[in-house]
This record gives sequence, structure tokens and C-alpha cells, in this order.
Amino acid sequence: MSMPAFLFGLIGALLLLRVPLAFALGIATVATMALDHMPLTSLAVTYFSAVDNFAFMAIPLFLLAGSFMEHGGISKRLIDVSDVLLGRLIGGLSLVTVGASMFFGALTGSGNTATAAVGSLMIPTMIKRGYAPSFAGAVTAVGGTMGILIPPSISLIVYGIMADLSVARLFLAGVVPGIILGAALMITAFIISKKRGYKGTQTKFSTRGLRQAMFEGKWALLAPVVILGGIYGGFITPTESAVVAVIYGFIVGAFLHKELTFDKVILSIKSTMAVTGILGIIWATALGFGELLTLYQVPQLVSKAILGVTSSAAMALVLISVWETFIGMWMNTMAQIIIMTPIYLQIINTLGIDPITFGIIFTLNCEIGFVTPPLGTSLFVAMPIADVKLGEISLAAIPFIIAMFVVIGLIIAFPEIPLWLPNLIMGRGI
Amino acid sequence: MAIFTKTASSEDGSPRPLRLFLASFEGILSGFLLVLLTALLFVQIVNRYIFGISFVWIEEIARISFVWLVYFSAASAARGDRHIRIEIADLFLPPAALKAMTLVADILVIGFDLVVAWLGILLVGSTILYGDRSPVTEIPMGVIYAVIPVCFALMAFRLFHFNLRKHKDGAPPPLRGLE
Repeated sequence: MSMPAFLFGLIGALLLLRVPLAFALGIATVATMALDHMPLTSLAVTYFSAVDNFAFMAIPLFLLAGSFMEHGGISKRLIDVSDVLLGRLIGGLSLVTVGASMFFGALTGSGNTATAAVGSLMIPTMIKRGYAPSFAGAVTAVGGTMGILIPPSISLIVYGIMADLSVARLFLAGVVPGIILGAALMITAFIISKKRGYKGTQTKFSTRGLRQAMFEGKWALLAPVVILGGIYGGFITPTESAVVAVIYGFIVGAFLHKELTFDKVILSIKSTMAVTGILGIIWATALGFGELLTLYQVPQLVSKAILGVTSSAAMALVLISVWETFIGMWMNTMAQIIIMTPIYLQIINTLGIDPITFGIIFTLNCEIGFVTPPLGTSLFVAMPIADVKLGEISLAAIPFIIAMFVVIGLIIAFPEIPLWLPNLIMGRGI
Repeated sequence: MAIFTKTASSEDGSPRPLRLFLASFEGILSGFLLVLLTALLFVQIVNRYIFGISFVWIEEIARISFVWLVYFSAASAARGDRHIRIEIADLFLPPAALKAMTLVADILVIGFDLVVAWLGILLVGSTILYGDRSPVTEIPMGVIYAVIPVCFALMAFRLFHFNLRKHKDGAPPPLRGLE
């Protein structure tokens, strides 16, 4: 048996045995290296230097900022603005949910944080107004996934580091697809609401009402400008902008809205730490694993196999999307990006696909992974709030998943869509 | 075995500060490192854009704190068994089989942790022997690298400990922000 086959077989066996992902990657690496008579001594340095990365620091900082904003009364004010704009339409509350998720996506880099922030307020409200709990849960779970598409995004940071691309450019590339996806989800929610007779809220649209909601929510609405403005003004790096986001979220939550209490600050720090440790060690062992894959030329082998089936860029992207939908059911997004990116890059470089466009398609695929069981983490966040079973919420999510596939198809057909805004603001070039 | 099975409280039920600290010091340390990291990077930004100066040592200390933060948080996560498992088998296997599998899995993880801890000790030993220091702050690299053996050994210990007491505690609360 060849070494790469052994490596993948072992990973599969370890995961089935319920070895945690980070450690399954580590054990497979150690076992393969030992069997192939490679010295293990370098592994300790690999695990240290993998994490010693300035760009990677942005991830816990954006998570902490998102958590401060979740607890600092920002989601409530974003929902109010969204309500004035969309509430009176058919299925108003579900449209408000999608709209508020888009706003919140511009504050946080995590899909689950967005689902939690918007869902904790919107799911109970929707259920009270007669929406089916499974529908209310599904629309928040799917809406929240836009947290990783609309900048900032922890997934795009990881992809950017792996693919050696400008994170600032990737962030900008997510904006237009994010708006298209938001519109697609709203249309889906609208059609379902119309069929089921979900009415709009009593909120009448008036410029005065809008002005008042926007004034109340001014610190929330200003946040994306503060967080992202610095990056595109060329003043600061994404990591530094994450620090600014933390400080901004803290000041707004604690001193301006006065809702971020000491207990909530401690809670935010605790959950950020736990996520940092869990993701950090996956990152370290996955990079060690990736070095072995490169050594055995696995990316080239997979690429050759795919190119044997098709030489069309669009067809290859469809195949990757189908494969991603499958592994997204089982695997955590971060692990998917770290393990699969080198393999995909080999394919897309051969076919001449733009790596930035591909990053956006990949992110959309990861979003589908958030809402497909058995491992659908956004569903897990929304389920207890809506008090529904995994089966019910998964079925209710299907129409939205179809809408997400339509958006992926649109970007495969028109690969220039994500590139338009970065080219406009940052100019062409790498 | 008594020290493993008792909870962190004295006879009258109030927590003992020392034992509570030992039970979760990596969590406290990583919380401190997260705040330190944010503060250092913020000072750096203010210095650069308001006063036009920047200190190389701040970046070096920030990077070291970050690596330490990751590994101490990972050890802290092992304490509550929060590392992500892919739970395909849960769909079709009976609980008894799952329990046995998890035990085998945890033994493998502890073995891996100990191997990396040993490799880390070798690394620390050799960098101390050659007298390597970090470029700016000149901290011995052996001290900086010590996070690898310390945290991997700690993870092995915490997971071992978790297996001993897991029938007492319920499941930890779910985590958000992982994706």
C-alpha cells in the first residue's frame, strides 16, 4: 500500500473512532512519518511555528470583537433598522432576520456568532407571531452563515494565509456575493412566507422612523466603517483592524450602550479562548499533515485525477462544490480549508481559475456545510432557541440551501462578480 | 486516586483558592494572554499612527503571547473534552460501543500528546544547549519553546483526569464561534 493511501485510510479510521480532529491529524502524521523512517524531531518546531503567524492573530481578535458586539446591544439596534426597512413586507420578520444577519456579518467573522446574536432575539419573536419554529430556526441558521462571507471573515483569513493572497482583497471580494446571497435568501423567505400566509409587522416605513432607528443604531452602523475603513484606507492590516474592532466593540458595549457587563466581558474572553485553542491546534496539526501531503505529492495526484475527468473550469468547480457539500456534512470548516486548500489550488491554477473567485466559491460551499446535518453547527446554535429537532430544522433549511447553490452557480458562470469591487477599490494586480 | 475524584471544594463546600487555581490555571493564564495581546497590539497601533514610532519588541512579545495563548487554551479545552470530534458513529452505534471507542480514542490521544511532549523536551534541550535567543528581546528560545512540552503534557494529564471524573460532571455548554 502506498504511503498517501495509508495516511488517508488512517485518518478515516481515527475519525470514525471519534478521535478529535486535531489529534487524528497529528496521530496520522506521526504514524506515517515513523513508518516511512522520517525523523520526528522537527515536528515540535512545526507545531510551534505553525501558530507563530501574525495574520492568524486576527482570528481570536475578530471573535472577541464579535462576542462583545453580540453582548453589547448591537444586534438589537441592527434589527430595529432592518425592521423599519423590511418589516412591513410579506414575511417581514424573516426578511428582517436576513437583513440583520447581513449587518451583523459585517461586524463579525464567524457564522455561528451571527446566528446566535440575531437568533436569540428574532427566533422567539417570529414564533410568537405565528411563524413555524422550524422555519424561524432555519432562516436564522442560514442567514448567520453570511458572517463568513461578508467581511471580516475568519474563514477568508485562513484561506488567504493558506493561498498566500491579500486578505484585504479577499474581504472586499466577499461584499457583492454577500449582498447577492442576502437577496437570494430574502426572495426564498418571501416566497415561503407568501405560501404560508406570514404577514408583515405593523412597522410603517417613514423617513422619520428610519432616521430615528438609524440614530439609535449609529454606533452599530458605524462599526463596519471603523473596522474595514482602516484596511481599505491603507492605514492598517487586517490584524490591526481586528484590534480596533475589539476596542470599538468594548467601548460601544460597555460605555455607550451600557449593556456589556463585567460578567459578559469574562464570558466573551472565555469563549474566545476556548475557540482559539480548539482552532489553533487543528491549524497546527493540519499544517504538519499538509507538509506530508506535499511531500507525497498528493495535491498533484488529485489534480491529475480531476483533470482526467474534465478540462473545463466550470465543470471542475461544479465537481469541487459537490465534493465540498459532501464533506461539509461531516467536517468543520476550518479543517476543510486547511486540508483541502493546497489540493484545490493545484487544480484551479492548472485551469486558470482566479484564486480570489475560488475563495468566495469555497466560502459559499463552507456556508452550506454549516446548515447540513449531521455536523451543521449553525443548525446546532438555532435548534435550542427554536426548540426543534435536527430533522425538522434541516428540512426547513432545504429551500435556502437551494438558493445558496443558485448563487454558487451564478458565480461559477460569471467569475468576475467577486472581483469587481476589489479591482474598483484596490486596482487590478495581484 | 483521591485527589482526582474529589471536587475542588473543602469540607464546608467553599472552593479552595489553590485547588481552584490548579484546576484551571491554564484558562486564567490564557485569559491574561488574550488581554495582554490585545493591549500590546493596540499600543503598537496608537504609537505608529499617532506618534509615528513602533517598537519591534512589542511585535515579538505579541507573537510569543499568541502561541502561548493557543496552546494553553488548547490544554484548557482538553480539560472539558471540548476538542471537535466527528460524530458519524453516534448515528448508528449503541452507547456502550461508543463508550469503548471513546476510551480507545482517548488513549491514542494521550499517547500522541506524550510523544509530542517528549519531542518538545528534546527541542527545548537542544536550543538551551546551543544558547539560541529570540532576535529582539533575547529571551532564550528554550523558554519560549517550553510551551510545547508543557502544554502537550498538560493536555495528556487533563484528558486522563477528564476520563476519571467524567461520570460526575455533565457535558460542557456548547461553544459558538467555531465556524
